[in-house]
Amino acid sequence: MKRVMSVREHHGLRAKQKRSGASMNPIDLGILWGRLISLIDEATLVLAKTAFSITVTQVRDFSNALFDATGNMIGQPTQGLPAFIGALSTVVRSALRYIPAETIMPGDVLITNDPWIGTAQLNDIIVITPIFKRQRLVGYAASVAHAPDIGGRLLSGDSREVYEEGLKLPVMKLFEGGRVNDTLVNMIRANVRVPDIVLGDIIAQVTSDEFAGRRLLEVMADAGLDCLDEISSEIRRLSEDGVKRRIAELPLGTYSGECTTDGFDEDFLIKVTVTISKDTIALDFSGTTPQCPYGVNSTYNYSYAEAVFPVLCMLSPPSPINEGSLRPIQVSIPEGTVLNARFPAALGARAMVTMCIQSAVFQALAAAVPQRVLADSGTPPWLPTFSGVNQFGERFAEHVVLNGGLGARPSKDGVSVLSFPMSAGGWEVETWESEKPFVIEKKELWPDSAGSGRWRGGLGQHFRMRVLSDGPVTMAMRGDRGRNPPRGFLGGKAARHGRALLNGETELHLKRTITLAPASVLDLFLPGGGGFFPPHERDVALVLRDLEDGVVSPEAAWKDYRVQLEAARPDLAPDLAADPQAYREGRRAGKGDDK
Amino acid sequence: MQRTKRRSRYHLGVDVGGTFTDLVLYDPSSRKIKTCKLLTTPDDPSDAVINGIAQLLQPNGHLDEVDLVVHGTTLAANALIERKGAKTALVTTDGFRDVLETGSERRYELYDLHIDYPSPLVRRALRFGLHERILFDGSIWAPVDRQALQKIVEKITGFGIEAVAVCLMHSYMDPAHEQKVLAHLRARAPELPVSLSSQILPEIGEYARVSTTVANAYVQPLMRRYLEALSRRLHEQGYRRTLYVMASSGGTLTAKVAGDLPIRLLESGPAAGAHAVSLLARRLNRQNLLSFDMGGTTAKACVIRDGVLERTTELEAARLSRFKRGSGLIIRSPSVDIFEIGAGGGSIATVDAIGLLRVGPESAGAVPGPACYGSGGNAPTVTDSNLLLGYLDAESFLGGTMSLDVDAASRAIQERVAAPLGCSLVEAARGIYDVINQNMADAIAIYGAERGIDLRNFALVAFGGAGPVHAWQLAKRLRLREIIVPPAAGLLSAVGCITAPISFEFARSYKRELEAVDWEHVQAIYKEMESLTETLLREAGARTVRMARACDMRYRGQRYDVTVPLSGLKLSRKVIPQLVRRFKSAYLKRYGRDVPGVPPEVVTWRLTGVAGGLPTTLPKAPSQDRAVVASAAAARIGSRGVFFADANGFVTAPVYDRYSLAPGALLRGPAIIVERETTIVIPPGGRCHITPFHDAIIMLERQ
Repeated sequence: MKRVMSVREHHGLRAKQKRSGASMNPIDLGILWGRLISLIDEATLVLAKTAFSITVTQVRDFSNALFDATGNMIGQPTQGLPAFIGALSTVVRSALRYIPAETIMPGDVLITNDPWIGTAQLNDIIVITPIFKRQRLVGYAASVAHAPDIGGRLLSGDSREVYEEGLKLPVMKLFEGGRVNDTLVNMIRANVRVPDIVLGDIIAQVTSDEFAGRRLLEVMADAGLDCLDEISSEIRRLSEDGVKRRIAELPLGTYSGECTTDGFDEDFLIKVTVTISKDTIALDFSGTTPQCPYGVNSTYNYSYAEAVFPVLCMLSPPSPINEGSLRPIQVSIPEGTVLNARFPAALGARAMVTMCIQSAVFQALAAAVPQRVLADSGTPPWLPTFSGVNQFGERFAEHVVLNGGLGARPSKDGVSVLSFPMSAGGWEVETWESEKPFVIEKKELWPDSAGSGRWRGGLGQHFRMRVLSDGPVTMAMRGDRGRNPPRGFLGGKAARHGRALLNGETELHLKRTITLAPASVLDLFLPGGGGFFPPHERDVALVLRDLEDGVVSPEAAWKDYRVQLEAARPDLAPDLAADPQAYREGRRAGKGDDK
Repeated sequence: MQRTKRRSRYHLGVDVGGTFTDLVLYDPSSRKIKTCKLLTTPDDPSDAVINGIAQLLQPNGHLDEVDLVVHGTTLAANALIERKGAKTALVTTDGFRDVLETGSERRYELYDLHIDYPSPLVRRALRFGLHERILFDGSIWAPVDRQALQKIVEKITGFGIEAVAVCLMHSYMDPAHEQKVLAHLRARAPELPVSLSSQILPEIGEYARVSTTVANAYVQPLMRRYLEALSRRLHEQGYRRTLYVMASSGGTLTAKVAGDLPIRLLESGPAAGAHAVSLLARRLNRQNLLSFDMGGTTAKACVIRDGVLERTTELEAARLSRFKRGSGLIIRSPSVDIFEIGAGGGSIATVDAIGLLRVGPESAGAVPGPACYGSGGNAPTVTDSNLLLGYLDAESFLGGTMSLDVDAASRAIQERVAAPLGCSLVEAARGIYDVINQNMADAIAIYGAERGIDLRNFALVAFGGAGPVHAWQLAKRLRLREIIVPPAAGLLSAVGCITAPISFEFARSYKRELEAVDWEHVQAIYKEMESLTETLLREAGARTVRMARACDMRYRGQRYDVTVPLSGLKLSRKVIPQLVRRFKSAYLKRYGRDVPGVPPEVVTWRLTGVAGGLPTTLPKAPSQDRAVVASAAAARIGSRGVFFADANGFVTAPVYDRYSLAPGALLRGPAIIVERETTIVIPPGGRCHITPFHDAIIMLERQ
C-alpha cells in the first residue's frame, strides 16, 4: 500500500505536520488553515461586489490579506494580485510604527496610501481593520485597492515629484471607535475627481475587512482559539519549510539576467543576480538604472513583491502563500535606483518598470531550471488613464487595463491576452461605454504580434477607441515595450514591439499625458509574448491552424516556418511565397477540420 | 378542452445520467412510487427511457395513464465536457470576434506558469465580425452592413455549420440588429438553429453574454434532436401532454422552451436531486445538509445552509483543472450551486507514469461499463473494487436483474492495478476505494471552503447508485458524524423530477433611482409578465398559480445587486420608504455595513410563478407488497464478508433488506442494507435507525 499512500503525501502539508509535533493535530490545522484562506476569499468577493469603480469590480485591481496581532501576514486570497500580496506583507507592521497597537481601539479603521509604506502609488489605498475578540486585539484584516483617481495630475508617467501625483494620506484613522472621521472624508472628497466612486470603494474596503473580521471570530470560536499566535507561527513555519524543501531541489549557483525597458525617454536596464543556496534564494538588483526624474520609479516594497513573484512561480510552493513562504527569498535593491527610489520620486508609472522584473528573473533562472520559466511576456499591461466629462455631464476619471500575450512556455504556446504578472483585467466594453464618452471600435487579437518558436507566444491585442464627448479628454498614456519587444528564449523569436497611434498617423509617446480632441481615434497595439525554442521545430499542423485562424499572416508564416511548410504543404508554397494575398482569398478560412 | 373520461393517474420522473437511467412512477392518490433503474443507452438515450417505461407500466399500463413526465438530463453538460456539440459559427460586431479568448484575462492559478484555458467552442476561423454598431443607450452608431452580412451568411451556409450564435454589442438594449442577422440566416437556411444573445442572456457584459450564447448554440442541435425524439416516442406510447425538463434552477421547462434554451439545462439532473434534498430538509426539519449524489460517472455536491438551498447564476462548464474556479467556460444561468467532479462507480483506475494510483475522472460509462458488468469493459473501476471488497453483491445488483462478474473484476484490477503496483488484489481494490474517496473529500472540502462553510455541522445526505456505498468514508474524511439515506436513494434525482414545481421566472431591466421610478410603468411590466406566466402555467396543467415579485437593488453606482422581495407591497410611490428599508436590511444582512449618502436604485424587476396543486412533498417509500417487519433481525436476508480497514480486513456483516426494515428499527455496524438501486454500508461502530418515513439515519463513531 506504500504507493497508494504516496498519493496523499502529495498534500505535502499533512505529511509534514505530523512531524511538527505542534499541539494542534494535522487534520484540525488543515481545516483551520483552509477556513482562514476561504474567509479571505470571501472578503475578496465582498469587496468586488460592494465597490463602485470598474477598476475594483471588474478589473479586480485589489487584494485582501489577513494578519496576526503582531502584523505577520498569515493568509492571502487564492485569486488576488501577487504584487499586492507581497507588498502587503509588511504593511501592518509599517503602519503600526505611526499608530502604535496600544492606541488602537475596537471600531478603529486605519487608512494610508503612502507609497513607501504600501504599494508605490498614491492611487493604491490601504485600509487596515483591527480585529478584536472581546477587548483583545487578535489580528488585522487589510485590503489595498486601486482608486480610480486620487487627484493631482492624472495618474500618469510624466510627473516629476510625488507631490504632483495627488493626495497623500499618512497613516490615519478613518474610523475611530466606530465613528467615521468626517474631516478626513471631506478632505478626500474635496481632492479627487470622482468623490462618490472613490469613497464608495473605500467603504467597500472597510466592509470587506470587517466581513473578514467577523468570519475570523466565528472560525476562532469554532476552533476554541483565543488568539492566533500559535496557529500563525505554525502556518508560517510549515510554509517556510515547504519553500525551503523546494529550493533544496534546485541546482546551486549564481545566475544573472536582465531586461531592458523603454524607461521614460531613455531605456532602463533591470539587472539581477540570482544566487541559489541550500535553502535560500537571494536576488540582487545591483546595476539597475538609477532613479529617473519622471514617474517611472518604484519603492522597495513593491519591487520586492514583483521580484519574489517569479521565484514563487518557479518553485510552485506546496502551500498557500504567507509571510513564511517569502522568508527564504531575499531581495536586495540598491537605494536610488528605479526599483528603490528615494522620496519624493514620482511613481505614477511604476508598473511600467516593475512588471518587467519577472522577465529579468526568468532569464536568470532559465540557466538553472529551463523547464520552469517562460519567455518574455507582452508585459507590462498598458494602463492609459482618461479624464473629462461624460455623456451625462459628470466628471469621470479612470484607466483601462489592456494586457498583452503570455510568453511561450517550454512545453506549450503562451496564452493570448493574459494578465501577467498581475492578474487583473476582464473589464467589459459595454460597461465602460455606458459610463464614459467613448466608443470602442476594436478589441481583438493582434495577428503576428507574438514571437515565433517551437512554441509561440500568446497574441497581444489591438485596441481602438474613439472619443465621443463634446469636449476634450485628457489621456495619461502608460505603456512600454515600444522600443524593446518581449524576447524569445532558447532560440524562440522576439515578439513585435507595441505602438500607440493617434488618428491613425501620429506615433504617441508611451508615457506622456496628452489632450484628445473630440472625435479623436486612439489605436493601441500591445505586443504578444516571445517564442520558446527555434521556429523550425514547430509542428506544421500548428502553423497551418494559426494561418487558418488568421493569427499568423501568410507573410509571417512563410518567413518563420518556411522549412516545415515547404516540406508538408508544397501546394501552398507558391501562394505563401509569392502572393500572400492570393492565399488569403484562395483559401477560405475555416475550410480545415474544426476540431 | 376536452377531458378524457379515464382519470390520468401517474406522474413519471426520468433522470438520464452518464451510466444509468432512473425512472420513478408516482401515484398522487396513494403517494406511492414504483422505480426502475437501467443502463443508459448513449447512442440514443431515449431507448433506455422507453424501455424503462415499458418495465414500469407492465403488464397492462399505458402511457395515457401518465399525465406528467418530467425529465432530468446531463446531456447538455456532457456535450460541453466531451466537446460533442455542433460545429458552431459566431457572428459578432466587427472588432469583437475574439471576446471568447480575450474576455477573461485573469489567471485562476496565480503561480502556475503552465496554466491552460479551455479552447473556445468556436475557433477563430468561424468567428465573423459584422460591420454594425449599437451604442450603450440603444442608439444606432452604424447600421448593419447588408453586403457584409450577406457575405457572412454565404460563408456560414457554405461551411457545413450546424449552429450559429449571434452576439452583437449592446444588443440587450436593442435586439434589432441581431434580429436582422437572424432574418438573413433564416432566408438562406431556414433550418439552421440560431441563438441570439438578446434572447439567451439580455444583460450587459459582452464576455458572459457571448460565452453563454455560444454554449447554447453549441449544444442546441443535439438537445433539440434528443428532446424532439423523446417527445415523439412518448406520444407514440400514448402520452398526451407536454414533456417537461428540469432546469438547472430546480424548476421545470417545457421541452420546447428547453430546446430553445438548452443552456438552462446544464445542471438539470443534479438540480433534480438537490430539489429532492431540499424537500427532505423540510420534512426532517434540518437546517444544514450536505447533499452527496454519486452516480456512475460523476459525484455532485451541494448544500442547504440555514434551511436554504444555495443558488448561483455564475456557472462554469467543463472545468479544465479539476477544482479550480476560472478554468471552465463561463455560463450565466440561474442554477442550484452544484459542485461536480469526475468520480463515480464507473471511474477508471490507472497507474500513472510515475507509479501512482489514479482514479477517474475518465469513466467507463454504461458502455462498455465496469469490467464486472461483463459487457466488454476491461478497465478496472470503482464498482469493480466495491464488488471485491464486499460492498456490492454479485447476485443482488439492481435487484438481481443484472449479475456482476467477480472474475472479470478481479482480472481487471489484478492486471492493471495490482501487478503494476506490486501489491495484492485486495490491497489494490482498497487503494482504488481510498483514492476515489479522498478525491471526493478534497473536492467537497474545497467547495465548502470556497463558500466559507464549516461542513462539520452538516449531515450528509447520500444518494445516487454509488452514494450510500461511499458515504461513510466521505463522512469520516470530512469529519461529519451523521448520514441520512432517504428512501429510493438510488434514484433520488428522478424523485426530484416529479416533485419539482412547474415554475417560470421572468425579469425585466428598468434601472432607476427610486425617486425617478415611473410606477405605472412598473405596474405595466408586471401586468405583462404576470399574464405571460399565468398562460404558461395554465397550459402546463396548473390548477392554481402562485406569483412572487422581487426586485434587484443596489446603491447607485454599484455593479452587483441584492434581491429584495416585494411581497405585500402595492407598487406606487408610497412604498419607497418600505423598499429602502427592505433593501438596507437585506444589504446589511449580507455585507454588514451600508453605504451612507448614496441613494438606492432598482435595476431589475422579477417575477416567479409557480404552479399550485401539484405535489411538493416527497412520496412515500416504495413500500413493496412484502410485509414490513418489526424487528431488524427479521429483515436480515443473509451475510457476507465486507472489507473494513479499521478492522484489519474482511469481517462478516449481516445483510438487511431495506424495505423490510420497519420504522424504529435499530442496527449496529458492520452491516449492509440493500435496496434495489443502491447499497448502504454501515461501518463497525456505526448505528443506524429507520425513521417513520423510512429514512435510514446513520451515526458514525466519534473520531
